[in-house]
Amino acid sequence: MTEKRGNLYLLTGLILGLAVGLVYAWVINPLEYEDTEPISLAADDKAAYRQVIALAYQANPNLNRASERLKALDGLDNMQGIIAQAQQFISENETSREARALTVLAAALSRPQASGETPAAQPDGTQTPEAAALTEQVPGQAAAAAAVATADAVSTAAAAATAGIAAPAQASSTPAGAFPTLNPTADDPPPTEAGTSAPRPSAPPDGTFQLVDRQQICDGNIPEGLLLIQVNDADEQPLPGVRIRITWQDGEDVFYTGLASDINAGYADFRMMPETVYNLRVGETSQPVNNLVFNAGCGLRLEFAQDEN
Amino acid sequence: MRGIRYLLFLIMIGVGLAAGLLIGWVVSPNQSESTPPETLHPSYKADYVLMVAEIYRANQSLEEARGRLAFFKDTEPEQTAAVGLETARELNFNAADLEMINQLVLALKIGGEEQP
Repeated sequence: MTEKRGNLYLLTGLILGLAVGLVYAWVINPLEYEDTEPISLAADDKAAYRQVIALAYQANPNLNRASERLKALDGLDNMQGIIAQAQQFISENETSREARALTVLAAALSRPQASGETPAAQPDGTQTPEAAALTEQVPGQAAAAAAVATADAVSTAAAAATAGIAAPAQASSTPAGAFPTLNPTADDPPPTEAGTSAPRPSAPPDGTFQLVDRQQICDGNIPEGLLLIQVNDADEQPLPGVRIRITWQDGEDVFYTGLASDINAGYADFRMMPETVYNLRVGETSQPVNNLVFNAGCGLRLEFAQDEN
Repeated sequence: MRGIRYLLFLIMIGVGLAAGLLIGWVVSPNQSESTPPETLHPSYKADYVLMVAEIYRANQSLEEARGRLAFFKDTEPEQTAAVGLETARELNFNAADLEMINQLVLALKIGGEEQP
């Protein structure tokens, strides 16, 4: 009995010390992170960051930079983040500028890599010089640690000294090189005589669009009532980010081309319902296409082309 | 004998303290899964300022630029831009980018002086 009581005081001391240690580490002097990466931001902050990336791309179309910025923010699966956010904006009827910018960027990223547009692998599988430079200059996942834990150095050392252990080590997360100060690529606008580019107003993919083709498709290959919309520019290239407004007696919907990046950048679709008459307008100034109706067993394909101005 | 018991008691307190610190700082730190923008590495902050500068150059909206820079809540937008410029210089951003950021910094400074 006496021996048990004698050992109990040791356990009491252990528990007491543990409690004090936990209170100190969790409440009085908790860990603080520094030098973090965008991927560790909260969801709302990521959404704001993503908007800025898209708007910056709209202002200065450098796909390399935009791509690397999104990778730092969303990891390798960055397309889903952009598309989801664009769709959320549209469904909430948010400011069209941000939604359009996100859509345009998503479509640009999903396009097959054009020559000089994005650093691609050489035919033999090695990186292009641009890609190599980009990798070196970007503090991406491979270069930087996720976070640096830090505590007040003095108090840490003092607390550690009583226990005789080393203070928490600070992992280095210094990224390699600058971010993302790329050498000029094909995306960069040519410098003016002054050495920097002239201001470039962001050019929304708008203008007037003409209906150039209308097809009713009843072969069963597409769901009945599906309205397929294809919007191309004057050069017959798919045009992303074009605002489409469809109205009916009891409502309306607004959406943009390019959100279905797996189809093409100028594509959008809408599911019509029976016994409803729809009117559709592409862009802001085009003539509407009226009296679109659901036909059982059939879908409807409309193709629009941008007027040459 | 009693002295040894006290010493052992203190040692166990110390061991418990060390274990508590280890658990609290290393094994299971009391942190949320996300971090605020203010903790971003300076290079990312500088790049963010660059993006805001690019947007500003296109639309010349100082109010929007300020709003975007307020993303970092620990400093005023003007300070955020100025620090971003310094970091950009240290990281050898290219001349065009530095010029863009510089234009933003100047605009914010002038805009701030004009406000009553």
